[in-house]
Amino acid sequence: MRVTPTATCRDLLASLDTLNEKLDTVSQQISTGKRMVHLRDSPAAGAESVHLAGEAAELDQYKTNADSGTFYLQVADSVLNSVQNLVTSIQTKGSAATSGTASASDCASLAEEVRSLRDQVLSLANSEVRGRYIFAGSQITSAPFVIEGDDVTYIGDDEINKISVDDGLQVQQNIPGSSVFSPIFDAIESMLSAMDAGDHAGIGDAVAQMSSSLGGLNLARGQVGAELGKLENVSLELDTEAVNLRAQQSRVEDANAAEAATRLSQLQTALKTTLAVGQSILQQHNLFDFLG
Amino acid sequence: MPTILSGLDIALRALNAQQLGLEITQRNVANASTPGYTKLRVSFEPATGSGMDSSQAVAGIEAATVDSFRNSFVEYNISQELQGQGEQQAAFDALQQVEALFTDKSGQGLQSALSDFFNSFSSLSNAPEDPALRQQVLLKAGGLTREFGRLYDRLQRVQLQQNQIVYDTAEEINSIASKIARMNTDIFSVQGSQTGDESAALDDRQRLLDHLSELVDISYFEDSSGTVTVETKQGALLVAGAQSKALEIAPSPQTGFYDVMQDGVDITSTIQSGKLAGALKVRDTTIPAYLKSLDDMAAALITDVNLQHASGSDLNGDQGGDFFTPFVQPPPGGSNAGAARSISVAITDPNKIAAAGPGGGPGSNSNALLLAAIKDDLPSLGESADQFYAKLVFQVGSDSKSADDGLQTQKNLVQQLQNQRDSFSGVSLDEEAVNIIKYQKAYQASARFVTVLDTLIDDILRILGG
Repeated sequence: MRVTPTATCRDLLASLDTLNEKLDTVSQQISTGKRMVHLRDSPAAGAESVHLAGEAAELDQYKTNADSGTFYLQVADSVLNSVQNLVTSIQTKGSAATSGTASASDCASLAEEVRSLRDQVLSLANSEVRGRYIFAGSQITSAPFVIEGDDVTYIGDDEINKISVDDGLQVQQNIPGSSVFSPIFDAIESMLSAMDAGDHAGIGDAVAQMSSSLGGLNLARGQVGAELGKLENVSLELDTEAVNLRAQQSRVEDANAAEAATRLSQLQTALKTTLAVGQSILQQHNLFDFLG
Repeated sequence: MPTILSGLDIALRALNAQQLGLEITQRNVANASTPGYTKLRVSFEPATGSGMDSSQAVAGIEAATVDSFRNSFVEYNISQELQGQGEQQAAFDALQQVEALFTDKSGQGLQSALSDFFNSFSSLSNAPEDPALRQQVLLKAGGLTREFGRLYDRLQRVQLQQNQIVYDTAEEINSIASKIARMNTDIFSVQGSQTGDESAALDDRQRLLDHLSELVDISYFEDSSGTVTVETKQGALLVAGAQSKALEIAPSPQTGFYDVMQDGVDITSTIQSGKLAGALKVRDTTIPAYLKSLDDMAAALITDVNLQHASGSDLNGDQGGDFFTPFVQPPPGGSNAGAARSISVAITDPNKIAAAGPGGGPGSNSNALLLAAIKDDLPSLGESADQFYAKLVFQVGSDSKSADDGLQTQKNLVQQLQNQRDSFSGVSLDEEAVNIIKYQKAYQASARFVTVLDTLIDDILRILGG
């Protein structure tokens, strides 16, 4: 084919354009650290990036939820532990009052001690953390147990809150206080009225009632323990998932620095060579140079 | 039998012919790098010896004609490929702006706004009575609606820009068409001139045809008088003889965008290629598809969030009202057009967020939980918000990629065709250098011939005088 200088220059310019465009892309990859300079470079990676960002945000949220759930459940766990200890003390006082040697004044002073312990249980049952009464079901804005004389009434509800801590995994975040505390308060009330009446047999019955009233408490402690166990596991899993996700995001989004640097120097060499060739083409001799 | 004096005539014609050869060569050299210049060559016709004894060999140039090395076939092909190049270039220029909106480097995109919005419900489920968390939900919902509006606005801006390009391109087409019509007259007047001016005029007209091809899909043909008739592929006449016919531009009563008309007839949909078609396609097909995706997603969010919100109770124990301002489909219905631009949060009082299950107390979170779960399955879309948005991102990337690929392909095609054209029609300096020597030597030889004749005449005169 007959080659004219115009065609040669046209080809040279097209090569230079292509090389410069590639150089621009690689240098942007290096300066931003991102593989994808333009969405068109890889539409599929762009779409995957959306999914991964969504998952990452979700994982962060799960972690927040798990931390929040752990906090409330740990508070509940320690409260229930304390209640267990207080109930044991109350049972001891009750047993002391049942013995035949206990006088009426003994009973009265034991009753006062039981009342003081009962008040501590009541205070625990009305535990308020971060502005919410944690044993009130969904009625978390007011204290769930109110006392009148020795009669303690539950005014919360039985609503259970669950929170999402992983895909398809929810944990129970609260323990409505009614099933835990009401039987205990009832037993204490019976004990106190028997003590006030000096009714030794009645006190004995109340001590027995006390033991059987702990069912709800034990169930709740088991429940809290189980949920805390789930949260502990899921927190570890979330950490692992986050690491994996970050690795995947990096694979999809981050530029391979070594590869990009190599590519940059390759392109620079190609550009230099093309320019050198271009220079010799542009200064190429033609027949006119040799005539004269 | 030639006479000595007629020999002088022959020599003069030869001298003139070689001089024309030199002139044309100079013209070629001067235009060696003029784009679209067609190489000229002088061809000599030997005298046929009329009126002379045919048995005698007569040396002499009867006529010298200027030929141009035009390859109309390749030139036509170039103009056709330029149409595709113009179209892809226009599409690529627009889509480059669009894809930048979706690249989301800053993390401020719609995807993170969606995540933030739904996560704010999830956060609220941890402590539904917390005023800070409630406020957060309203903030994130506001952020989401703003992000929808921002993206919608930017897309519409690109769409409007395409509309302006349609207008400007039509004007440019009209201006070029009238220039071509003028060139038709010029070419008619220089037709048959032996100076190379006709070829120069044809080159000019070809440049105009190429430029026009970049703007709109045309076909053209040249008749025997040398004038071209130009029309669009679908038959809208642009140039006939010395007349050009203008494209008219008028805003469509339906869309408000410019329609391309001729003789009062809307021919917008018949434009198939060139910059005009590229801008029309982006304006009428590509961007509307993106806007529709955004509208569908926004409408689904409004419907699904409101429905779930209404099945819960707010902090005052009342049934949840509309969370987003309900979207009313514009008549005749069936389209969510405008939902993404108009989406707004209906609630201003954080206590009105229905986080609680039906009749639940302030600490109940079951509806917040269900609201957060909408993210993974928007019933109105049949898939998750992320999936839907990822498909849109993929579509934008693919469209931009195919415009880019198409543009590169067209550029390569045009480049190859132009090289092909140049290999026939372009100027090679080596060739011209050879021609200069050729004409110079022939001129010198003819001059020498005159000297010889002069000597001969002198000799005869001397004999006669002596």
